[in-house]
Amino acid sequence: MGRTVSPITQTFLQERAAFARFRRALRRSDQRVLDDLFVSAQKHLSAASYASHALPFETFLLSMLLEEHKEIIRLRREVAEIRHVIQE
Amino acid sequence: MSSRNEFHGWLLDIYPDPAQGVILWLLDEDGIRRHRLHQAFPTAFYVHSDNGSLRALWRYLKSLSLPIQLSRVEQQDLFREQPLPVLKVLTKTPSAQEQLFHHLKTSFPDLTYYNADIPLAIRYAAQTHVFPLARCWVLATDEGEVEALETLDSPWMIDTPPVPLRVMVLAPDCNPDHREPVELKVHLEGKHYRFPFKEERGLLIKLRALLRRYDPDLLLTVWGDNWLITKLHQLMEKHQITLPLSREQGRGVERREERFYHSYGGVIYRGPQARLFGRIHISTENTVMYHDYGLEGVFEMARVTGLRIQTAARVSPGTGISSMQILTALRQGVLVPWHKQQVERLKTAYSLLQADRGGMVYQPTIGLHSQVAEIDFISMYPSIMEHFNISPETVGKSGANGTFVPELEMTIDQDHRGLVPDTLQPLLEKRIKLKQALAGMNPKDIRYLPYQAQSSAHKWLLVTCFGYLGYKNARFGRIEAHEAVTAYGREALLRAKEAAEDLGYRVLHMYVDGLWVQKEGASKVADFQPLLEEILNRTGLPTSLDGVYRWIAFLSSRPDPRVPVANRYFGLFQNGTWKVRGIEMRRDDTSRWVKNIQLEMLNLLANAPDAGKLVEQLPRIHSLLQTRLAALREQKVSLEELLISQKLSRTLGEYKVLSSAARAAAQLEEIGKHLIPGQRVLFLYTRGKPGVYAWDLPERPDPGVIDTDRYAELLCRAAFTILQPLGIEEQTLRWWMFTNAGYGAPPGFLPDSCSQEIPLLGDFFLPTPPLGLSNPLI
Amino acid sequence: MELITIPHSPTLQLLVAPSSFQRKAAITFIAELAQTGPVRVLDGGNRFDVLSLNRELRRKDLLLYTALERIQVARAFTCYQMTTLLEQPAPGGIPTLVLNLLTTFQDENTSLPERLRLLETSLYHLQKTARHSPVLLILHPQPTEEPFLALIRETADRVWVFEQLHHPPVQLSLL
Repeated sequence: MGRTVSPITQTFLQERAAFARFRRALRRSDQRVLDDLFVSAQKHLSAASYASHALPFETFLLSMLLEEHKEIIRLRREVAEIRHVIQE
Repeated sequence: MSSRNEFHGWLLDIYPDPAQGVILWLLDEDGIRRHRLHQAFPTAFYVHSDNGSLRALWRYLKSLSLPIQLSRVEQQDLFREQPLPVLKVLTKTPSAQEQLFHHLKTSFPDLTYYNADIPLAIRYAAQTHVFPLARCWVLATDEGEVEALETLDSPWMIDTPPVPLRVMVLAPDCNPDHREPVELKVHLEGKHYRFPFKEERGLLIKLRALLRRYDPDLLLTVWGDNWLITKLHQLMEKHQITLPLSREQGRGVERREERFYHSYGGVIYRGPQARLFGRIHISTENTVMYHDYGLEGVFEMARVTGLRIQTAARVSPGTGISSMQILTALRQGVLVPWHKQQVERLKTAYSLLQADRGGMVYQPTIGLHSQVAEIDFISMYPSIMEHFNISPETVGKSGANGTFVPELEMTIDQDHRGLVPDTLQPLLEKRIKLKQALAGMNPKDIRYLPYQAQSSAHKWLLVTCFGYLGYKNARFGRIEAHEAVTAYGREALLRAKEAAEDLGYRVLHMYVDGLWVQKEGASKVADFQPLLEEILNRTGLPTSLDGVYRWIAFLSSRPDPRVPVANRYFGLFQNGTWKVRGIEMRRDDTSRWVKNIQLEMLNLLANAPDAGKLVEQLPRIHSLLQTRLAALREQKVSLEELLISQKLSRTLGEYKVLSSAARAAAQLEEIGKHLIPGQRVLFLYTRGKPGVYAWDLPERPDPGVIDTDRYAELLCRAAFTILQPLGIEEQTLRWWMFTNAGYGAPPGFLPDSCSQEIPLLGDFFLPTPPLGLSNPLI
Repeated sequence: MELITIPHSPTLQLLVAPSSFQRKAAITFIAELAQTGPVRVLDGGNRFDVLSLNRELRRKDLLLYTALERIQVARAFTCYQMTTLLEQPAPGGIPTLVLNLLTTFQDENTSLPERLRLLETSLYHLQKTARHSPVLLILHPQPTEEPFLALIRETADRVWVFEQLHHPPVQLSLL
């Protein structure tokens, strides 16, 4: 009983599929980058499910941003470390 | 006037009798005598409708001139504030009640019936507190009529004395699905007999003699329900020899047909059944969870559910928990509806979006992690129901002290104890008592195995209890109650996560009722105790430490290695035991050959003192795989090891494309063996078309036709599951397995699998030198 | 879809359509009705697709959460529950959409005469409701549901049937 609202994984797959035409028209190299973004969203599906936002795609976008920002932080740290080494 | 007998004993069986009311079989505490007793047991049911319909029913019942009593009374319906006016129909015996109701439900289908289809054992337990295997005191006449009967027992006691049952084991010498058995093996009281089926008369006469001489209380059979009892029947008819299978004279065997039904998107198969009277028949392959809890578990199911032992052995835990709820209702004087009619209350689309969700399932941090603790909520969902008073009649009501369910616009009445929490409370308490006793017990203690079996029976009841709350046909189910439980479950898990993070732990994974945490310097059980206490503080629910892993690997999805999967992992506890989920060796459709090799690989990895040394085991794993593959190619692997077992999901006609299982089933169909959905098919992968060979065909296939490439591929996948977290690429593994390339060196270095916690930008700009902070792992 | 009138006046209408169209139609109607006022949805098929509805509401540029609060949903999982749900009158004459009415009537555990009896009771109550408020049933019947569908057709004031093209246009191959 229950399970009327589609589970988050299925919603995610539907949303991704909705961009199939967009993806098809991208260059191969850009397609791979786009796929990466969707993987980022997939890493936070449980949080997206918990949020049960009326428009889940918004949570997927935020998850992509979150992963992007983590990457920026990591890169900044690496730059700082390298700079530190050079200065010594 | 007849004289009276007084004795103590255990209730073995109970069933209705049209003339005498109830028949009770008691096993005397002298261990020798068995008593057949009878007792009058007037049985009532209730009908509700508008006045006009009830008057019509009254007139109709009067016109039948049956020995029944009719009265207008008020009874409590669980879902109504005020007592409900109903017509009480009191019959002289349970059999008469059953017959009359069967007649009325077709003649007057529009009426609402209560207490109409309750198993006799449950009615009896409700009224007398006597349940199957309960120790009782009895006063009876010489004719066996019960004058007084009292229970000296409770299903919630632990350490009840063992019941001295006489058990006779009957087993054909092979699986009858496979080929016609040649001999019947009989074991009892340490003696073994073998009777050839060919000597039909002889078999019947010898078996009859044994049954008469030993008078067993329990017939424990293998393939009894689906083959042996039918076979014995055929022989009995052919030779006109009657075996006293039932103790009750003149009552033969009660048969039920096989069937299948749909449940939660899957197909469930229930085999045919053969039940006896006055003697217990348990057919091991048709006993739900027999492999898990054995006879002890079956007895415990009967004791706590109140169902006849033979019924308790064959029903699903859902029916078990339902029986317990009916028992609670009857004892509280609450009406038990025949059909559930409670419907969902209207809710807004927004509420539906919030409420219609399951447990919290996380994406774990992929890779290998050291010194990880797994903390589980103890029986989370049942504890929630009990703790927060969640029951179909308490949700959606507020009362004076109503509580709000997290996330949802829903309240729970706290002024009245709910039916479901009331049913669960003693079960939860007994389970905790057993768990505590088991934790400190030597496994050689004679109580150890019975405790484990009982605890396992409780586990199934408790696990099912939650699903049953939301099950469409549950009499005391309600979808809102189901939603409230999952909402509390998500809240509890999130609070546990917050508690862990506040105490400096890193949360690697969460799954419905468990979480996996790690903290630098924490490796002993005691190191995690403060967290357990903090979780109890914040949630009110008890947790236990399942163990500390020396290391654990969370796996990624097969198609995309970047995507984590919630329930696929394997880990080695510090005490040397494994916990493995979702990988090939846990799947029913994996051959024993692959399962064993996967286990061998794990055992090699267990040799490593810590996760950092795992790669040192790679050369041995490499040669293990080579040896096993060579054995496969040289046909040195037995066919049984290669068997694949898959469930048939639909009838053959319904398949658009025939799956391997369906093709194997089609081969069996051709020789007249018909399988129905939900049944398992055993087969081998073979070269060429049709690609499979059904194991239950009469001939054994030539080992030369085995599709060794396919099995090698299946092995490769299973091996990759284990090796991927060690940084082995699939291509590398293929070189190792399918070319002559020897093992050279470990694959460079291990990946930085325990991916680092990333500091926030704010933290980052603190003046601490960033170098050297970076953390390392394994 | 524009041809089918959205129920605003008290009538009992039936729309019979293939699965994909039926789902789309249900969402469009619910979104349309929620634009102007409250609406009651009774679902017997466990597939009231809230997320697609949300996308539809956004497309129509409606205030999403206001609309979601206007839509009242209840689900039935057995034919007994469905019958009980349909007995409840629509509060204040608001329109009612019944989705997948027949799904719960395909229960192998209930006898056929019993299921037909329950459906008749259900339809009796639906007719009563339709005297005061608009009711639309949306169905995509399976072949086994014919005897049930016939009963519903007899009861409905208006029936819309989606016709399949016998010769769908074929696209020429590129190869």
